[in-house]
Amino acid sequence: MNEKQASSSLTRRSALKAAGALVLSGTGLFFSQAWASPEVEKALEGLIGSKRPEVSPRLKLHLPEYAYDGSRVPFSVEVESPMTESDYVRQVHVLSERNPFPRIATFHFTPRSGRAFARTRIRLAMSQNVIVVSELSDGSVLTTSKWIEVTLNGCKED
Amino acid sequence: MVTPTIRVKSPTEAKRGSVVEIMTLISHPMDTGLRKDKEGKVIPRNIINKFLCVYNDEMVFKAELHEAISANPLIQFNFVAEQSGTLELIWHEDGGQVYTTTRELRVL
Repeated sequence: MNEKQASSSLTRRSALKAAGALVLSGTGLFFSQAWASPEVEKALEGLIGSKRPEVSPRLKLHLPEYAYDGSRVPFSVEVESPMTESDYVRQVHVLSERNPFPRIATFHFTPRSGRAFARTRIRLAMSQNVIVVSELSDGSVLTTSKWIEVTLNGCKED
Repeated sequence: MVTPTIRVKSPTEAKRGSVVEIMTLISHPMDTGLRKDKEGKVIPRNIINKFLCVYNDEMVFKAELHEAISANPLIQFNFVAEQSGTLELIWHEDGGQVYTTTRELRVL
């Protein structure tokens, strides 16, 4: 009787573990991201389909930690890449978590770009995460994000 | 419609194979379609939605811009100078207007 109980509890434990692992692998990094707001997810689905972006330190997102005026926040992004015909960065999508429109910009690069770098100025409505998703020529998708504090809404005020 | 002022910072000469940096600025309100004027009427959306850089008839850089790009959009990017030629910078505005400018680059 004791033996039977022990074995049944073991199987139940392992079954629970397996279920847990399944849930974790199924949702993966994508949903564990703090920024996964429904608008961003929808926009991302339109851009990269069902692919799951991988958080990577190869993406460098330069954004101040704090911006008083959200109407022109300096922004630049660089992806570490050799930028050769066989290995280069195709696209970099910039998304915002809490702006009225989730898409900020998409930069397209070619091996002739030499450097996967772009700089611009962006509008941010409030404190939020700015998300960068990069598509590489080998089909992999990398991402990173950065939190920024914004005082004045850059989308409605002058 | 005011013709936008375009400013471009680009080198006139570059070593073969070196990465050159181009900085562009175009004066444009980038109206998002969310703001209202003094009478409370919505200012319709009017933005620069696309920027292209063509070098010797080959596209080297493209940017799709949305409402969240600041007024007077600044765009800085790089490309590899392989041979001397003409750099063509093209801005597409909502409604189909296109603004272009060219710069010569001599590769040594």
